[in-house]
Formats: sequence, structure tokens, C-alpha cells
Amino acid sequence: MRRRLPLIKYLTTLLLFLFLEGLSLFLITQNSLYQRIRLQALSIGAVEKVAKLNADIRHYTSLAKSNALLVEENLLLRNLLQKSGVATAQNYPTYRPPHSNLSPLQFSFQSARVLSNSTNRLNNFFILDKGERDGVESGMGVLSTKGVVGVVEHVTEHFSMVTSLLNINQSISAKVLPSGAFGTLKWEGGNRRYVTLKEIPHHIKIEIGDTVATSGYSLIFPANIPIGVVDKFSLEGGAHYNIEVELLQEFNTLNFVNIITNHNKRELDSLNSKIERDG
Amino acid sequence: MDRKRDRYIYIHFLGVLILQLVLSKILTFGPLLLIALYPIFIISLPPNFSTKKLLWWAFSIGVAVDLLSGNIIGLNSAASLVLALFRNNILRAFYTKGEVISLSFINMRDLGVIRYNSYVALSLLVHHLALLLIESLTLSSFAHLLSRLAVSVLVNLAIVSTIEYAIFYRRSA
Repeated sequence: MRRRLPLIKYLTTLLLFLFLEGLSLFLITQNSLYQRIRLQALSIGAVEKVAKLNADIRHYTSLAKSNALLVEENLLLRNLLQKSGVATAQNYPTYRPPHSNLSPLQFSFQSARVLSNSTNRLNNFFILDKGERDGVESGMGVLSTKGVVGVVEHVTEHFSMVTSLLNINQSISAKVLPSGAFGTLKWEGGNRRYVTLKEIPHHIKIEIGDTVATSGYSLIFPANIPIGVVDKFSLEGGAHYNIEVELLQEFNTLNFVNIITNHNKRELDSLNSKIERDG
Repeated sequence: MDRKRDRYIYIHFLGVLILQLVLSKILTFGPLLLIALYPIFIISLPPNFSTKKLLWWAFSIGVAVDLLSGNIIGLNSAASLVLALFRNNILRAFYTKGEVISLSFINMRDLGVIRYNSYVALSLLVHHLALLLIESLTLSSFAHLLSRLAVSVLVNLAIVSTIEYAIFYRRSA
């Protein structure tokens, strides 16, 4: 006990110093605009550095797992390219939608690291280490090695904030394979492993275990990017299926992602707005 | 003894505060010179004062100077807290091992001219460095900061030393 006393005394003194110093700095920020801006800039810089350090440690400790995922993805891509017969080094990094008349470079991908990620709210987001400087824009789709994970919402110079698929305000166009019938896929705010696909007509044949993938009817995601598998389904009002889809990606383990750039987005956007204006 | 000492602390507090306010109004030599004499109040508090007590007194005099001099409120208190945190460590560096520490206020007569001036110079250096860093919150103009620091420490040390020597040291000698 006697040994502890000087330590307690030292700690209480330090706490008193921190309290009074904090109070003084608070008073400074209330009375001087320059100091307020400088202190805010310093604190934002410190928070960013801590978040980056935290992410670095997290990524370093999960390198083995990430490597295994990358090897798995490489194998999958090589197999796909083998089947499509276009497996050359030149066109390997780009995605070409099948049977498309669009430019062969419609979609390209750039990798990004997840710096922070929330999964326990109704509106979940995650932050990526790529921003405006890297060509990221709001509205771009984001994929993991296992499938769709979200859409870029806000972008700063170095970072971007992505609306996770686990966000009740996020919906995407998806289809059930092999039929190709499409509907709207959305997380209802319940179990983090499941999302719901609605508006699939009742005459479509669906089986448990069918793959659910992107429909390609949006400018955000290319077609046939996997999302999950059918876990169960029921008829809603006798007209449409309500399908519960088990997600392929576990959002708690999100580390590396790919941001999708649609090179024809501006052209298609202007065409769409013209159609809306004329129609 | 304690009551008498406490009364003396209050008088000392007021005296240093008035001296700071008057001299900072009279001595204005542009941005290079910073007149900050009030650290002498913290520097001269009795050596047996705990760091906690020093922190409270430092905060009080800092806020009083800020309020009465029309400075950014919190600036002087933030800097004087840094000095109070290190005051006892700085003081220990100027006492030889086994030396009996006087319980009265730290003064030139007890410490000797050279030791006293060295102690005050080091304390002012810590205080002024903290004050200038908190004021600018950047190291981009480091040369300017160093020149301000050097000029301010030298001028304030000269003022403190002159007052201490003329009023207290010579009278008691």
C-alpha cells in the first residue's frame, strides 16, 4: 500500500494538470478563432493518424487471411477468363459485361483498404483510404472478394465514406440466377447475415441455394456480381416472392475492397436525363 | 506561521499581477518581445509546495492575467500550468544533495545570485516556450519562435533579477 501511494499522488497530480490544461485550451478555443481552427486541424490529424495506425495493425495481423482470400479470388478470376477465352495479360484487370455493345473498358476497379467499419447500427457505413485524389466519386459501387458491399456516399480528398449494404436506406437492383428475374434487394435491419429480395414474380422458379447477383440494370454495378444465396422464400400477396438472401460477405471481416468506376456513367446519365426530359 | 505565509502569498499574488499589468502596458517593443513577469509568482512559491497546489495557483494567476490584460482567455493559464507541473523538478536541479531546503519563499539571498538567476532563466524558458507554442500552434516559423523566445527570456530575466536584487536582496543583506 505504501508503495502505491506515490503513484496515486503522481496520477492525481497529472489528472489535475490535464483537467486544468484542458479547461484552458477550451477557453482559448472559445475566445480565438485562429487557435480554434488550428486545434481542430491538429485533432483531426491526430484522429486520422490513430485510425490509420489501428487499420495498419489490423491489416498486418490479418495478412495471412487476406492472402488466402486473394489467392482464392485469383483462382476464380483465372477460371472465368479461361472459360471466356479472353485470358490475356492486357485485358485481365478490366471487366467486360457479356454480350455488351458498350466500350470494352466500361468498368475498371481499384483496390482500397477499409479503415473503419460499423455493422451494429441501422445505418451502417465504412471508411476507405481512397478519396477524390484517387478518382473516387460518390455513387461508385464497392465490392469485396465475395461480392457487393456498398456504394460510395461521400468523398474527401483522401478518404471516402461508403453506405454499407447493411444500411436500411440502401437498396440495389439484383436478380436470381439462373432465371435472371430481377427485383430490389435491401437489408431490413435484422440479422446482419441476411438481406431481402423483393418483387420477383410468382411464376419464376426459385430454389434454395440459388445465387443472387447484381442485375446490371444500374450504372453502379456490372451484371452478375454475386451477392448471396437464396436461404428461404415466401409468396407475398400471392403475386411476388419475398426472398431471404444469405450474404456471401461477412461484414465484420471486411478488410480490402474494390471500388468500381463506370467509364460510361456520365454519358449514360446525360442520355437518361434527356429521356426523362423528353418523355 | 501558515496564516502569515498564506497572507504573504495573497499579497505577492496581487503585487506580481499589478507589476505584470503595468509593465506590459509600458514596455511595448513589438511582437518580438513578450512581457511575461507573472511566472515569478509560481517560481518563488515555497519549495515545499506540492505540484497540486502549484497548479491551482498557476491557473489562478494565469486566468487573472488573461482577464485583466485583455489577452486570449486561457493562453497564459495554459502556459503557467506547464511551468507549475515542472517547477519542483527544475528547483531540485539547483539544490545540492542533502542541502536543507528553506520553507520560506524562494529568493536570491537563499539560493545565491548565480543559482537564482539560472533557476529563474530555466523556469522562464519552460514557461515562454509553452506560451509561444500554444499561441502559434505550429512550428512552421521556428526561427521566429526561437528569436522571440530568446529575447523574451533575456528581457524578463533582467527585469526579475533587477527587482529581486534591488528590493529584496540588497535590503536583506
